Amino acid sequence: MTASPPPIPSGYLAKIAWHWRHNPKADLWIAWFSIPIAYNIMGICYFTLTHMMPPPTATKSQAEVVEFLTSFSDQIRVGFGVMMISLGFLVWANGLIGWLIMRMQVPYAKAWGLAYMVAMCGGSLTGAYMSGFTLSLAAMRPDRDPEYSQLLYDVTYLSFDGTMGFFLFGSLIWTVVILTDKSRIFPKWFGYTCIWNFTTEFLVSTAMITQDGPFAWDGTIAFYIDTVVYIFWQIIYAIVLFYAIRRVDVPMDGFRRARSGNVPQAQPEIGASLAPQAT
Amino acid sequence: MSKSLQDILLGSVPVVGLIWIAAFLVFPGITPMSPQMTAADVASFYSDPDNATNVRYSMIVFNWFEIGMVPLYAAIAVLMQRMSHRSGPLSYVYLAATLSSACLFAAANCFWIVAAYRPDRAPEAMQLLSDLGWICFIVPTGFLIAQNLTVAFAVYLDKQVTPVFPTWVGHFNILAALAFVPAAFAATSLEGPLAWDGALSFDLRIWSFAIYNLVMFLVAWNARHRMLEEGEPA
Repeated sequence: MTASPPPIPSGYLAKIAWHWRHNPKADLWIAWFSIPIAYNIMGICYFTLTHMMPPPTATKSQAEVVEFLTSFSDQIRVGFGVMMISLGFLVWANGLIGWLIMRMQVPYAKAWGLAYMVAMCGGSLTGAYMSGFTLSLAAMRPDRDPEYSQLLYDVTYLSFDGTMGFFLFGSLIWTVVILTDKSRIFPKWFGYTCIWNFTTEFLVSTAMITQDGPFAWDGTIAFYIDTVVYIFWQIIYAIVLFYAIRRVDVPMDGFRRARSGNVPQAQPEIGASLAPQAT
Repeated sequence: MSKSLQDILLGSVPVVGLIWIAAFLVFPGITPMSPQMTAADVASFYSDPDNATNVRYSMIVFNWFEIGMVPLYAAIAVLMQRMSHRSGPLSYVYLAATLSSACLFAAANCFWIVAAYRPDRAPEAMQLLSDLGWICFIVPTGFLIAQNLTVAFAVYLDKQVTPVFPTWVGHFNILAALAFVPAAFAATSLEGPLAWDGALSFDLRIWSFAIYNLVMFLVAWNARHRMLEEGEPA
Protein backbone atom coordinates (compact mmCIF):
# COMPACT_ATOMS: atom_id res chain seq x y z
CA MET A 1 0.00 0.00 0.00
CA THR A 2 2.89 2.41 0.59
CA ALA A 3 4.70 1.74 -2.68
CA SER A 4 6.48 4.82 -3.96
CA PRO A 5 4.39 6.98 -6.24
CA PRO A 6 4.57 7.14 -9.99
CA PRO A 7 6.16 10.47 -10.96
CA ILE A 8 3.77 13.37 -11.55
CA PRO A 9 3.13 13.45 -15.29
CA SER A 10 3.48 16.66 -17.24
CA GLY A 11 0.19 16.93 -19.17
CA TYR A 12 -2.54 19.06 -17.65
CA LEU A 13 -5.20 16.34 -17.64
CA ALA A 14 -2.68 13.67 -16.64
CA LYS A 15 -1.72 15.82 -13.64
CA ILE A 16 -5.35 16.04 -12.55
CA ALA A 17 -5.69 12.27 -12.92
CA TRP A 18 -2.53 11.76 -10.88
CA HIS A 19 -3.80 13.93 -8.04
CA TRP A 20 -7.19 12.19 -8.14
CA ARG A 21 -5.49 8.81 -7.73
CA HIS A 22 -2.49 9.58 -5.50
CA ASN A 23 -2.84 12.92 -3.69
CA PRO A 24 -3.43 12.25 0.02
CA LYS A 25 -5.46 15.44 0.25
CA ALA A 26 -7.58 14.87 -2.86
CA ASP A 27 -10.82 15.32 -0.90
CA LEU A 28 -9.67 18.73 0.37
CA TRP A 29 -8.65 19.87 -3.09
CA ILE A 30 -12.00 18.88 -4.59
CA ALA A 31 -13.69 21.16 -2.08
CA TRP A 32 -11.15 23.95 -2.70
CA PHE A 33 -11.59 23.95 -6.46
CA SER A 34 -15.22 24.92 -6.07
CA ILE A 35 -14.00 28.36 -4.92
CA PRO A 36 -12.17 29.61 -8.04
CA ILE A 37 -14.67 27.92 -10.36
CA ALA A 38 -17.96 28.87 -8.67
CA TYR A 39 -16.88 32.40 -7.69
CA ASN A 40 -15.77 33.12 -11.24
CA ILE A 41 -18.97 31.80 -12.78
CA MET A 42 -21.02 33.78 -10.26
CA GLY A 43 -18.92 36.90 -10.75
CA ILE A 44 -19.35 36.73 -14.52
CA CYS A 45 -23.12 36.24 -14.16
CA TYR A 46 -23.42 39.09 -11.67
CA PHE A 47 -21.41 41.56 -13.73
CA THR A 48 -22.43 40.70 -17.28
CA LEU A 49 -25.87 39.08 -17.24
CA THR A 50 -27.98 39.65 -14.18
CA HIS A 51 -27.24 43.37 -13.62
CA MET A 52 -26.71 42.79 -9.91
CA MET A 53 -23.25 44.34 -10.08
CA PRO A 54 -22.92 47.24 -10.52
CA PRO A 55 -26.57 47.67 -9.50
CA PRO A 56 -28.87 50.08 -11.33
CA THR A 57 -29.92 53.13 -9.39
CA ALA A 58 -32.50 52.94 -6.62
CA THR A 59 -34.09 56.17 -7.85
CA LYS A 60 -35.57 54.63 -11.01
CA SER A 61 -39.24 55.47 -11.49
CA GLN A 62 -41.73 52.65 -11.98
CA ALA A 63 -41.67 53.24 -15.75
CA GLU A 64 -37.86 53.08 -15.76
CA VAL A 65 -37.89 49.85 -13.76
CA VAL A 66 -40.26 48.33 -16.34
CA GLU A 67 -38.00 49.53 -19.16
CA PHE A 68 -34.95 48.05 -17.40
CA LEU A 69 -36.72 44.70 -16.93
CA THR A 70 -37.99 44.63 -20.50
CA SER A 71 -34.64 45.35 -22.11
CA PHE A 72 -32.61 42.90 -20.01
CA SER A 73 -35.28 40.23 -19.47
CA ASP A 74 -33.48 37.33 -21.18
CA GLN A 75 -30.03 38.17 -19.83
CA ILE A 76 -31.31 38.39 -16.28
CA ARG A 77 -33.19 35.08 -16.43
CA VAL A 78 -30.43 33.06 -18.09
CA GLY A 79 -27.83 34.63 -15.78
CA PHE A 80 -29.76 33.63 -12.69
CA GLY A 81 -30.26 30.10 -14.07
CA VAL A 82 -26.51 29.63 -14.31
CA MET A 83 -26.04 31.27 -10.95
CA MET A 84 -28.61 29.02 -9.24
CA ILE A 85 -26.44 26.04 -10.14
CA SER A 86 -23.07 27.51 -9.24
CA LEU A 87 -24.47 28.72 -5.93
CA GLY A 88 -24.51 25.24 -4.42
CA PHE A 89 -20.78 24.96 -4.88
CA LEU A 90 -20.08 28.13 -2.93
CA VAL A 91 -21.47 26.27 0.02
CA TRP A 92 -18.73 23.68 -0.40
CA ALA A 93 -16.25 26.38 0.54
CA ASN A 94 -18.17 26.94 3.78
CA GLY A 95 -17.93 23.23 4.62
CA LEU A 96 -14.21 23.21 3.85
CA ILE A 97 -13.50 26.34 5.91
CA GLY A 98 -15.65 25.04 8.76
CA TRP A 99 -13.64 21.84 8.71
CA LEU A 100 -10.30 23.73 8.64
CA ILE A 101 -11.43 25.78 11.66
CA MET A 102 -12.15 22.50 13.46
CA ARG A 103 -8.50 21.50 12.89
CA MET A 104 -7.20 24.68 14.56
CA GLN A 105 -5.75 24.75 18.04
CA VAL A 106 -8.48 26.88 19.56
CA PRO A 107 -10.71 25.98 22.51
CA TYR A 108 -14.03 24.61 21.17
CA ALA A 109 -12.55 24.49 17.65
CA LYS A 110 -15.30 22.13 16.52
CA ALA A 111 -18.06 24.47 17.71
CA TRP A 112 -16.39 27.46 16.03
CA GLY A 113 -16.20 25.50 12.79
CA LEU A 114 -19.86 24.49 12.91
CA ALA A 115 -20.88 28.05 13.82
CA TYR A 116 -19.00 29.36 10.79
CA MET A 117 -20.61 26.80 8.50
CA VAL A 118 -24.16 27.51 9.64
CA ALA A 119 -23.70 31.29 9.64
CA MET A 120 -22.32 31.39 6.11
CA CYS A 121 -24.79 28.91 4.60
CA GLY A 122 -27.65 31.12 5.74
CA GLY A 123 -26.18 34.04 3.80
CA SER A 124 -26.80 32.35 0.47
CA LEU A 125 -30.55 32.26 1.14
CA THR A 126 -31.21 35.99 1.25
CA GLY A 127 -28.14 37.23 -0.57
CA ALA A 128 -28.22 35.02 -3.59
CA TYR A 129 -31.38 32.94 -3.79
CA MET A 130 -33.97 35.49 -2.76
CA SER A 131 -32.53 38.25 -4.94
CA GLY A 132 -32.29 35.77 -7.83
CA PHE A 133 -35.91 34.70 -7.47
CA THR A 134 -37.34 38.19 -7.26
CA LEU A 135 -35.38 39.69 -10.16
CA SER A 136 -36.02 36.69 -12.44
CA LEU A 137 -39.73 36.86 -11.60
CA ALA A 138 -39.76 40.58 -12.34
CA ALA A 139 -37.94 39.97 -15.63
CA MET A 140 -40.20 37.05 -16.49
CA ARG A 141 -43.29 39.25 -16.57
CA PRO A 142 -42.19 42.82 -17.35
CA ASP A 143 -45.86 43.54 -18.17
CA ARG A 144 -46.80 43.07 -14.52
CA ASP A 145 -48.37 46.05 -12.70
CA PRO A 146 -45.39 48.47 -12.49
CA GLU A 147 -45.97 48.92 -8.79
CA TYR A 148 -45.28 45.23 -8.20
CA SER A 149 -42.31 45.27 -10.58
CA GLN A 150 -40.81 48.03 -8.49
CA LEU A 151 -41.56 46.05 -5.34
CA LEU A 152 -39.66 43.04 -6.73
CA TYR A 153 -36.86 45.35 -7.86
CA ASP A 154 -36.51 46.76 -4.33
CA VAL A 155 -36.67 43.31 -2.73
CA THR A 156 -33.91 42.15 -5.08
CA TYR A 157 -31.33 44.79 -4.29
CA LEU A 158 -32.19 45.13 -0.61
CA SER A 159 -32.10 41.39 0.04
CA PHE A 160 -28.84 41.24 -1.93
CA ASP A 161 -27.43 43.68 0.61
CA GLY A 162 -29.36 42.02 3.40
CA THR A 163 -26.74 39.38 4.08
CA MET A 164 -24.89 41.72 6.41
CA GLY A 165 -25.34 39.65 9.53
CA PHE A 166 -24.30 36.35 7.97
CA PHE A 167 -21.06 37.72 6.57
CA LEU A 168 -20.47 39.84 9.64
CA PHE A 169 -20.61 36.82 11.93
CA GLY A 170 -18.77 34.59 9.48
CA SER A 171 -15.88 37.05 9.23
CA LEU A 172 -15.99 37.73 12.95
CA ILE A 173 -15.70 34.01 13.72
CA TRP A 174 -12.84 33.75 11.26
CA THR A 175 -11.07 36.75 12.80
CA VAL A 176 -11.34 35.38 16.33
CA VAL A 177 -10.17 31.86 15.50
CA ILE A 178 -7.28 32.94 13.28
CA LEU A 179 -5.97 35.45 15.80
CA THR A 180 -6.19 32.98 18.69
CA ASP A 181 -5.09 29.86 16.81
CA LYS A 182 -1.81 28.27 17.88
CA SER A 183 -1.44 25.97 14.89
CA ARG A 184 -1.00 28.78 12.35
CA ILE A 185 -3.03 27.07 9.64
CA PHE A 186 -3.89 30.58 8.46
CA PRO A 187 -1.38 33.46 8.73
CA LYS A 188 -2.16 36.06 11.39
CA TRP A 189 -2.22 38.93 8.85
CA PHE A 190 -5.15 37.22 7.16
CA GLY A 191 -7.04 37.44 10.45
CA TYR A 192 -6.61 41.22 10.30
CA THR A 193 -7.90 41.37 6.73
CA CYS A 194 -11.06 39.59 7.95
CA ILE A 195 -11.60 42.64 10.16
CA TRP A 196 -11.87 44.91 7.12
CA ASN A 197 -14.21 42.50 5.50
CA PHE A 198 -16.62 42.62 8.41
CA THR A 199 -16.42 46.40 8.76
CA THR A 200 -17.67 46.66 5.16
CA GLU A 201 -20.90 45.06 6.35
CA PHE A 202 -21.52 48.20 8.41
CA LEU A 203 -20.92 50.37 5.33
CA VAL A 204 -23.69 48.55 3.45
CA SER A 205 -26.31 49.22 6.11
CA THR A 206 -26.96 52.76 4.84
CA ALA A 207 -28.37 51.29 1.63
CA MET A 208 -31.44 50.27 3.63
CA ILE A 209 -32.20 53.94 4.34
CA THR A 210 -30.96 56.11 1.47
CA GLN A 211 -32.11 55.96 -2.13
CA ASP A 212 -29.59 58.36 -3.62
CA GLY A 213 -25.96 59.40 -3.23
CA PRO A 214 -22.86 57.55 -2.04
CA PHE A 215 -24.72 55.62 0.66
CA ALA A 216 -27.44 54.17 -1.61
CA TRP A 217 -27.23 50.57 -2.85
CA ASP A 218 -25.46 51.75 -6.01
CA GLY A 219 -23.41 54.42 -4.23
CA THR A 220 -19.66 54.90 -4.07
CA ILE A 221 -19.44 53.89 -0.44
CA ALA A 222 -22.17 51.32 0.00
CA PHE A 223 -21.45 49.54 -3.29
CA TYR A 224 -18.09 50.38 -4.89
CA ILE A 225 -15.82 50.59 -1.84
CA ASP A 226 -17.57 47.66 -0.28
CA THR A 227 -17.32 45.50 -3.39
CA VAL A 228 -13.68 46.35 -4.08
CA VAL A 229 -12.74 45.40 -0.54
CA TYR A 230 -14.83 42.24 -0.72
CA ILE A 231 -13.44 41.05 -4.07
CA PHE A 232 -9.87 41.81 -3.03
CA TRP A 233 -10.44 39.92 0.21
CA GLN A 234 -12.03 37.05 -1.72
CA ILE A 235 -8.91 36.66 -3.87
CA ILE A 236 -6.66 36.67 -0.81
CA TYR A 237 -9.02 34.16 0.84
CA ALA A 238 -8.74 31.67 -2.03
CA ILE A 239 -4.93 31.91 -2.00
CA VAL A 240 -4.67 31.64 1.78
CA LEU A 241 -6.98 28.62 1.74
CA PHE A 242 -4.77 26.99 -0.88
CA TYR A 243 -1.77 27.25 1.44
CA ALA A 244 -3.85 26.28 4.47
CA ILE A 245 -4.76 23.00 2.79
CA ARG A 246 -1.10 22.30 2.06
CA ARG A 247 -0.20 23.09 5.66
CA VAL A 248 -3.04 21.45 7.60
CA ASP A 249 -2.53 18.24 9.57
CA VAL A 250 -4.99 15.58 8.52
CA PRO A 251 -5.18 12.59 10.84
CA MET A 252 -4.13 9.34 9.17
CA ASP A 253 -7.15 7.42 7.98
CA GLY A 254 -7.29 4.53 5.53
CA PHE A 255 -7.40 6.90 2.57
CA ARG A 256 -4.33 8.87 3.57
CA ARG A 257 -2.42 5.83 4.81
CA ALA A 258 -2.88 4.17 1.42
CA ARG A 259 -1.68 7.31 -0.33
CA SER A 260 1.04 8.46 2.07
CA GLY A 261 3.72 6.62 0.13
CA ASN A 262 2.68 8.74 -2.78
CA VAL A 263 3.54 12.19 -1.48
CA PRO A 264 5.25 14.28 -4.14
CA GLN A 265 8.74 15.39 -3.17
CA ALA A 266 7.92 18.92 -4.29
CA GLN A 267 5.50 19.34 -1.39
CA PRO A 268 7.41 18.32 1.71
CA GLU A 269 4.95 20.07 4.03
CA ILE A 270 2.24 17.60 3.04
CA GLY A 271 4.50 14.72 3.86
CA ALA A 272 5.46 16.31 7.17
CA SER A 273 1.85 16.80 8.09
CA LEU A 274 1.03 13.18 7.48
CA ALA A 275 2.96 11.83 10.43
CA PRO A 276 0.68 9.28 12.11
CA GLN A 277 -1.41 10.73 14.88
CA ALA A 278 -3.97 9.39 17.28
CA THR A 279 -7.35 9.92 15.64
CA MET B 1 -30.17 -0.19 23.19
CA SER B 2 -33.15 -2.05 21.87
CA LYS B 3 -33.09 -3.02 18.21
CA SER B 4 -36.18 -1.07 17.22
CA LEU B 5 -34.82 2.18 18.69
CA GLN B 6 -31.82 1.96 16.39
CA ASP B 7 -34.01 2.35 13.34
CA ILE B 8 -36.15 5.33 14.37
CA LEU B 9 -34.06 7.94 12.56
CA LEU B 10 -33.90 6.29 9.16
CA GLY B 11 -37.26 4.56 9.67
CA SER B 12 -38.94 7.97 9.77
CA VAL B 13 -37.81 8.71 6.21
CA PRO B 14 -40.25 6.49 4.24
CA VAL B 15 -43.11 7.60 6.51
CA VAL B 16 -42.36 11.25 5.76
CA GLY B 17 -41.87 10.33 2.10
CA LEU B 18 -45.38 8.86 1.87
CA ILE B 19 -46.89 11.90 3.60
CA TRP B 20 -45.02 14.15 1.15
CA ILE B 21 -46.38 12.21 -1.81
CA ALA B 22 -49.93 12.39 -0.47
CA ALA B 23 -49.70 16.15 0.16
CA PHE B 24 -47.98 16.73 -3.17
CA LEU B 25 -50.75 14.96 -5.07
CA VAL B 26 -53.31 17.32 -3.52
CA PHE B 27 -51.29 20.42 -4.45
CA PRO B 28 -49.28 21.20 -6.58
CA GLY B 29 -48.82 17.75 -8.06
CA ILE B 30 -51.80 16.73 -10.19
CA THR B 31 -52.31 19.99 -12.05
CA PRO B 32 -49.31 22.28 -11.76
CA MET B 33 -50.35 25.86 -12.47
CA SER B 34 -49.12 27.08 -15.83
CA PRO B 35 -46.95 30.23 -15.82
CA GLN B 36 -49.07 31.34 -18.78
CA MET B 37 -52.13 31.84 -16.57
CA THR B 38 -53.18 35.48 -16.49
CA ALA B 39 -53.47 37.36 -13.21
CA ALA B 40 -57.26 36.95 -13.40
CA ASP B 41 -56.90 33.18 -13.93
CA VAL B 42 -54.59 32.89 -10.93
CA ALA B 43 -56.96 34.90 -8.76
CA SER B 44 -59.93 32.75 -9.78
CA PHE B 45 -57.90 29.58 -9.15
CA TYR B 46 -57.36 30.55 -5.52
CA SER B 47 -60.93 31.89 -5.19
CA ASP B 48 -62.38 28.52 -6.16
CA PRO B 49 -63.25 26.97 -2.77
CA ASP B 50 -62.10 23.50 -3.88
CA ASN B 51 -58.67 24.72 -4.96
CA ALA B 52 -58.29 26.95 -1.90
CA THR B 53 -59.09 24.01 0.36
CA ASN B 54 -56.58 21.78 -1.45
CA VAL B 55 -53.83 24.40 -1.26
CA ARG B 56 -54.47 25.09 2.42
CA TYR B 57 -54.57 21.51 3.62
CA SER B 58 -51.69 20.38 1.46
CA MET B 59 -49.56 23.30 2.63
CA ILE B 60 -50.42 22.70 6.29
CA VAL B 61 -49.24 19.09 5.94
CA PHE B 62 -46.11 20.20 4.08
CA ASN B 63 -45.47 22.80 6.74
CA TRP B 64 -45.51 20.07 9.39
CA PHE B 65 -43.24 17.71 7.51
CA GLU B 66 -41.11 19.92 5.25
CA ILE B 67 -37.94 19.38 7.26
CA GLY B 68 -38.61 15.63 7.53
CA MET B 69 -36.11 14.49 4.89
CA VAL B 70 -33.21 15.93 6.89
CA PRO B 71 -32.69 12.73 8.95
CA LEU B 72 -31.82 10.94 5.70
CA TYR B 73 -29.19 13.54 4.80
CA ALA B 74 -27.82 13.53 8.34
CA ALA B 75 -27.54 9.73 8.19
CA ILE B 76 -25.71 9.98 4.85
CA ALA B 77 -23.32 12.58 6.36
CA VAL B 78 -22.57 10.21 9.24
CA LEU B 79 -22.02 7.33 6.82
CA MET B 80 -19.60 9.54 4.90
CA GLN B 81 -17.61 9.77 8.13
CA ARG B 82 -17.16 5.99 7.92
CA MET B 83 -15.58 6.19 4.47
CA SER B 84 -11.84 5.71 4.06
CA HIS B 85 -11.33 9.50 3.90
CA ARG B 86 -13.23 9.83 7.18
CA SER B 87 -11.00 12.49 8.70
CA GLY B 88 -11.40 14.80 5.68
CA PRO B 89 -13.96 17.53 5.07
CA LEU B 90 -16.41 15.91 2.63
CA SER B 91 -19.08 15.03 5.20
CA TYR B 92 -19.09 18.66 6.40
CA VAL B 93 -19.18 19.89 2.82
CA TYR B 94 -22.22 17.66 2.30
CA LEU B 95 -23.87 18.92 5.47
CA ALA B 96 -23.27 22.53 4.39
CA ALA B 97 -25.01 21.79 1.09
CA THR B 98 -28.07 20.25 2.79
CA LEU B 99 -28.57 23.11 5.22
CA SER B 100 -30.32 25.51 2.85
CA SER B 101 -32.55 23.34 0.62
CA ALA B 102 -35.33 22.77 3.13
CA CYS B 103 -35.59 26.47 3.96
CA LEU B 104 -36.48 27.35 0.36
CA PHE B 105 -39.21 24.74 0.33
CA ALA B 106 -40.53 26.45 3.47
CA ALA B 107 -40.55 29.78 1.61
CA ALA B 108 -42.63 28.32 -1.25
CA ASN B 109 -45.00 26.85 1.30
CA CYS B 110 -45.40 30.23 2.99
CA PHE B 111 -46.15 32.12 -0.26
CA TRP B 112 -48.82 29.62 -1.30
CA ILE B 113 -50.44 29.72 2.14
CA VAL B 114 -50.60 33.51 1.96
CA ALA B 115 -52.10 33.34 -1.54
CA ALA B 116 -54.86 31.00 -0.38
CA TYR B 117 -55.42 32.98 2.82
CA ARG B 118 -57.08 36.05 1.21
CA PRO B 119 -58.02 35.12 -2.35
CA ASP B 120 -59.99 38.37 -2.74
CA ARG B 121 -56.73 40.33 -2.95
CA ALA B 122 -56.02 42.19 -6.22
CA PRO B 123 -55.37 39.66 -9.03
CA GLU B 124 -51.90 41.12 -9.67
CA ALA B 125 -50.96 40.50 -6.03
CA MET B 126 -52.35 36.96 -6.21
CA GLN B 127 -50.25 36.29 -9.29
CA LEU B 128 -47.15 37.66 -7.59
CA LEU B 129 -47.61 35.45 -4.50
CA SER B 130 -48.31 32.42 -6.63
CA ASP B 131 -45.25 33.12 -8.83
CA LEU B 132 -43.04 33.49 -5.76
CA GLY B 133 -44.29 30.14 -4.45
CA TRP B 134 -43.63 28.40 -7.77
CA ILE B 135 -40.18 29.81 -8.28
CA CYS B 136 -39.09 28.95 -4.73
CA PHE B 137 -40.45 25.43 -5.24
CA ILE B 138 -38.96 24.58 -8.64
CA VAL B 139 -35.83 26.65 -9.25
CA PRO B 140 -33.46 26.16 -6.28
CA THR B 141 -31.69 22.97 -7.36
CA GLY B 142 -28.11 24.23 -6.96
CA PHE B 143 -27.79 22.89 -3.44
CA LEU B 144 -29.23 19.52 -4.47
CA ILE B 145 -26.70 19.30 -7.29
CA ALA B 146 -23.86 20.18 -4.92
CA GLN B 147 -25.18 17.57 -2.47
CA ASN B 148 -25.25 14.87 -5.17
CA LEU B 149 -21.79 15.64 -6.48
CA THR B 150 -20.34 15.57 -2.96
CA VAL B 151 -21.72 12.08 -2.44
CA ALA B 152 -20.41 11.03 -5.87
CA PHE B 153 -16.87 12.27 -5.15
CA ALA B 154 -16.92 10.73 -1.69
CA VAL B 155 -18.01 7.34 -3.10
CA TYR B 156 -15.36 7.40 -5.84
CA LEU B 157 -12.60 8.20 -3.34
CA ASP B 158 -13.72 5.60 -0.79
CA LYS B 159 -11.29 2.77 -1.47
CA GLN B 160 -11.95 0.16 1.19
CA VAL B 161 -12.28 -3.60 0.92
CA THR B 162 -16.00 -3.09 1.52
CA PRO B 163 -16.75 0.54 0.65
CA VAL B 164 -19.60 2.22 2.55
CA PHE B 165 -21.61 2.71 -0.67
CA PRO B 166 -21.07 0.65 -3.83
CA THR B 167 -19.60 2.51 -6.83
CA TRP B 168 -22.92 2.65 -8.70
CA VAL B 169 -24.22 5.00 -6.00
CA GLY B 170 -21.61 7.48 -7.23
CA HIS B 171 -22.80 7.15 -10.84
CA PHE B 172 -26.40 7.42 -9.66
CA ASN B 173 -25.65 10.69 -7.86
CA ILE B 174 -24.04 12.18 -10.98
CA LEU B 175 -27.12 11.20 -12.98
CA ALA B 176 -29.42 12.79 -10.37
CA ALA B 177 -27.31 15.98 -10.44
CA LEU B 178 -27.75 16.19 -14.22
CA ALA B 179 -31.50 15.66 -13.92
CA PHE B 180 -31.75 18.68 -11.58
CA VAL B 181 -29.98 21.08 -13.97
CA PRO B 182 -32.90 22.13 -16.25
CA ALA B 183 -35.13 23.17 -13.32
CA ALA B 184 -32.66 25.95 -12.45
CA PHE B 185 -33.64 27.60 -15.73
CA ALA B 186 -37.40 27.39 -15.13
CA ALA B 187 -37.73 31.19 -15.06
CA THR B 188 -36.43 31.49 -18.61
CA SER B 189 -39.63 30.45 -20.37
CA LEU B 190 -43.37 30.62 -19.85
CA GLU B 191 -44.12 27.55 -21.96
CA GLY B 192 -42.54 24.32 -23.14
CA PRO B 193 -40.43 21.79 -21.24
CA LEU B 194 -38.43 24.41 -19.30
CA ALA B 195 -41.44 26.28 -17.92
CA TRP B 196 -42.16 25.46 -14.28
CA ASP B 197 -45.01 23.13 -15.24
CA GLY B 198 -42.97 21.60 -18.08
CA ALA B 199 -41.55 18.12 -18.59
CA LEU B 200 -37.96 19.05 -17.68
CA SER B 201 -38.49 21.58 -14.90
CA PHE B 202 -41.44 19.89 -13.25
CA ASP B 203 -41.78 16.18 -14.07
CA LEU B 204 -38.08 15.35 -14.39
CA ARG B 205 -37.18 17.35 -11.29
CA ILE B 206 -39.94 15.91 -9.10
CA TRP B 207 -39.48 12.32 -10.26
CA SER B 208 -35.70 12.50 -9.89
CA PHE B 209 -36.07 13.93 -6.41
CA ALA B 210 -38.51 11.19 -5.37
CA ILE B 211 -36.44 8.36 -6.87
CA TYR B 212 -33.23 9.87 -5.53
CA ASN B 213 -34.51 9.96 -1.97
CA LEU B 214 -35.92 6.45 -2.23
CA VAL B 215 -32.69 4.97 -3.58
CA MET B 216 -30.49 6.85 -1.11
CA PHE B 217 -32.75 5.72 1.72
CA LEU B 218 -32.33 2.09 0.66
CA VAL B 219 -28.54 2.28 0.28
CA ALA B 220 -28.16 4.19 3.55
CA TRP B 221 -30.35 1.62 5.31
CA ASN B 222 -28.29 -1.25 3.89
CA ALA B 223 -24.96 0.38 4.65
CA ARG B 224 -25.96 1.08 8.24
CA HIS B 225 -27.29 -2.41 8.86
CA ARG B 226 -24.23 -4.02 7.31
CA MET B 227 -22.08 -1.95 9.66
CA LEU B 228 -24.18 -2.90 12.68
CA GLU B 229 -23.79 -6.58 11.76
CA GLU B 230 -20.04 -6.08 11.46
CA GLY B 231 -20.08 -4.79 15.03
CA GLU B 232 -19.52 -1.08 14.42
CA PRO B 233 -20.87 1.09 17.23
CA ALA B 234 -24.44 2.19 16.46
